[in-house]
Amino acid sequence: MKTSPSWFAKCLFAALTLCLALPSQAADLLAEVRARLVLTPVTQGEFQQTRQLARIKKPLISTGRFLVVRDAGVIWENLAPIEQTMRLTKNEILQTGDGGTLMRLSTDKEPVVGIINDILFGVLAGEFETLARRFTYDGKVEGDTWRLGFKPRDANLARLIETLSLAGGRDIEQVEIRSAAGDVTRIEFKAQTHANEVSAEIRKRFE
Amino acid sequence: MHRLLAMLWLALLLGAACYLIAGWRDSAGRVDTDLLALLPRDERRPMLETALKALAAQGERQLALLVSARDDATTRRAASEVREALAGLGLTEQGAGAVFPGDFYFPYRQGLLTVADREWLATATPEAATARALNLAYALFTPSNVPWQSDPYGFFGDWLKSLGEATPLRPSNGELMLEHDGRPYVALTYALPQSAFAGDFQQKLVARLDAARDRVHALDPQAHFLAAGVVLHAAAAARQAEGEMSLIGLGSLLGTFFLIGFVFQSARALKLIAVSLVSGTVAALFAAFLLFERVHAVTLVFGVSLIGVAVDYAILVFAQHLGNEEPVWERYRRLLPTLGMVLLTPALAYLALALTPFPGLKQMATFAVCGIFGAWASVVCFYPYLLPATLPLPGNAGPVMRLLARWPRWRNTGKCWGLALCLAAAMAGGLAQLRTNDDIRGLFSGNATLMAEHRQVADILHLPSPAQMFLLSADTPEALLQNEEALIERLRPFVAANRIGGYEAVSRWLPSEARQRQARVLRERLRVSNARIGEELELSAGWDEEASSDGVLTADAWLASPVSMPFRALWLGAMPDGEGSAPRHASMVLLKSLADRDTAAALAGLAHAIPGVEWVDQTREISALMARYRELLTQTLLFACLAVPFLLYPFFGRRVWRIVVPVLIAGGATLAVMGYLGIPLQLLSILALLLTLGMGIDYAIFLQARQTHAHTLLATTLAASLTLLSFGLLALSGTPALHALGLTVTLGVALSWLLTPVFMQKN
Repeated sequence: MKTSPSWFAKCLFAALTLCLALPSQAADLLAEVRARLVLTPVTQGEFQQTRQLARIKKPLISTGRFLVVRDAGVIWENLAPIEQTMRLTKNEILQTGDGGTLMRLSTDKEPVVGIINDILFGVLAGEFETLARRFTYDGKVEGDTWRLGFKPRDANLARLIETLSLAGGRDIEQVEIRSAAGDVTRIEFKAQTHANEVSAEIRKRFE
Repeated sequence: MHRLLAMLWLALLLGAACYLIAGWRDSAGRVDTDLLALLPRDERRPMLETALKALAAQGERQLALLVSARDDATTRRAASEVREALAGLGLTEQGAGAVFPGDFYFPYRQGLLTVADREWLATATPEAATARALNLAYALFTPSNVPWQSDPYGFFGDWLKSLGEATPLRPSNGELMLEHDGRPYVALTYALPQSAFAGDFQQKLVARLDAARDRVHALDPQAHFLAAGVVLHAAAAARQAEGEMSLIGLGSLLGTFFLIGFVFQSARALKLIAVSLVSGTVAALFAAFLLFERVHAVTLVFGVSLIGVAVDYAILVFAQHLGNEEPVWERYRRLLPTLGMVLLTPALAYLALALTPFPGLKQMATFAVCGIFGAWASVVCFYPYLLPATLPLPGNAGPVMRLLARWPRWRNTGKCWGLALCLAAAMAGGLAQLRTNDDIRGLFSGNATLMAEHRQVADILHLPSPAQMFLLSADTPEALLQNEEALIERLRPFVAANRIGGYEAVSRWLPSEARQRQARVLRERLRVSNARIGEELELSAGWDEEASSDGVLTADAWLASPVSMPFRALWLGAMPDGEGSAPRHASMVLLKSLADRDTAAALAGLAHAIPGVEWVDQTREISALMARYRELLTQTLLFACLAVPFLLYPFFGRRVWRIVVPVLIAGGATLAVMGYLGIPLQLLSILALLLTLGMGIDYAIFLQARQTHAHTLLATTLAASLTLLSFGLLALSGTPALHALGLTVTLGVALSWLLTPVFMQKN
């Protein structure tokens, strides 16, 4: 037991050297935000999504519920005005609607899918370190609330995404995705609940 | 008269030497090490010829590297190390920062539909179409960089995605990366600043690549570093050729000077040998560089082995002088007819090489004939001036001559016939086991390790193979694209069944105008859903108009854009199709990982179904060509065997059989030995037998022409052993073609030399 503090220090040191590649103040920022978040194996809740498509006046508002299972993926269910479900897992993005499968993108066929997958998972599940690999970021923490902005490091990714913005407190409450094409998606999360156990029923939804 | 001829020949030689010296630097750059350059070209199909040339030109200056280390970050570091190691060589890195196809194709998107979307659109109800567009509008995110309104149904996004399937490479933070077997790879592709065959550059590049490999392994001992490029094969071939040339050349020269100095013990004799060798070399190089744009390293390696043949004339002349007190001119005049004859037979044999459609063999033949002629002409022209009045009978040759004098002789006795029958039976046994092999890959294969690495790179990058392909042609570019599309329609089931890994075709990137029109017609079906979507999303009337007003993508526009760069080699454009006919437009469709022979046969069948489509199976066709020429040359050989006795009859009368029989037996026995050893008979073995026939008959002629058998026997023995030395060294060559040639000639000449004295007339 006596060795454990030094072991911990070594790990910390190792982690620090890993972080040296990133701006240190920024690394602190991510750690600070993460410290405020409640990160449990399972998070679920409701969302309201407002999409402002380029050159289209009417905002497209949809509502639904979401489910994040940290080690399995994300299920994003639009319930109104149209019903469709997007399921993100490690290997694919699957979109289903009333007509059955709308789109199935698998990472082994199209590596870009892996990147999109990483980003969406990073945003929806608060995996900021994953995001930091592909984005530069800034933001601020005020009391219990925080705000983060991400910009792509890579020119190729910048052709897809202009910025990502996140804000919240104990949970991620708002997300904004500005696509390079000019479409903007704003998401507000509500009624979020946490669980430490992944029920068999939930597990089944990712199979 | 003779003096004039000698002066003329001297002037010619000096001129040729000046030409070679003046153009030395340039000539060195014209030495080719591309093994493919040795393969035959199909003159009957000029279009195929151009197609292959275009592919070769595209590939020749490319260098592809794949680097992989334990993780993403290390792999990137390794790639930077490689970049650093190769800096300053003048290589141009390609790939990274390439054009985004999306930008180029955007204005033409109305005409672009994937197969799946085309099928979907043909049957989709307005409800399904509306749902599809609204789903995309309400989705969390659109995985393409096109605004929703410009591509409401996602068809253009799908189409762009389908282009991505052509290569596994994806841009990622400034690198082109891919994942293979769970490992990250960075691909680095370079264009060389000069031809892959420029010697200096090759060696410099190879040294830097070795350094790069070391640096990558220093970073991660388990790292993968794979390189592929014509330049690597060329460098390996050049190194090999250099090594072999010095081995064969040095071995032959040392052997020649040692043996001749030992036997004749005359400095003047050595001088004449040197003069004839130098003039042979000058004549051969002069002819080669004058007549051929590129001289192949394999030709030079083969040429070096001719040293053993070129010295024959001088040796045969010396032999006539041993202990001969006649005036030099007297002897010269008496020897001249024989000298003429002995030039003819090997020259004819080498000319047979020139009859083949193999550019490599043609060059070797030209080189050989000119070299031999040069050596011969110098002997004929200069020897009255260079040769000593008399050569003393060498004391140390005595034992050799005594041994040769006691050589077994053929007698018309039962014992001899019995022995002959036994040997004939043994020969028949060997001949029965003789197999043929016309596989070109066995003959002109490159370095095996490099080939394996090349295949690995092609496999990881999903590169198509140029060995089998479709060649398409039509009167207009549009008709050509339509033919391609018809062909691809039929290739699709092969891809689905995994019988081919995929295909590379221009029409994938440039659909025919007909197909683009068809897509627009299909989109007409979207009018109802467009209206419903407009209502739903409160879009202004005519919101879909903007989208449908754009242009048709033409071949010219596509070719003018950098987006077509990687595929331009597939598009051959307008080209002459034989004489007199109008030019036709042509393109290639390349295949990836062809599964097996049955598939190849089935694909060949496809070509018949569509007009203007030809199936090209290079390996097979060249092998078939090899077989055809093997048969043709076998007939030539048999004809030569029959003709030689008649040609020699006027000179030797009934003694002709003594000349012909040993050479024929030697040829037969060579084949029999090959049969027993399991060495397959191929085109080059037949050619080697022709050479053997030429040289064997020479020895026999010399033995029969003069009555001073012992001296002549000594000379032929010397000549044969030097030829054996040269060709024996050639058999050590790593180029299978030269190895086969060297081995067969060595066997054949050894046997001729052993057998010829057996049939000599007793003094």
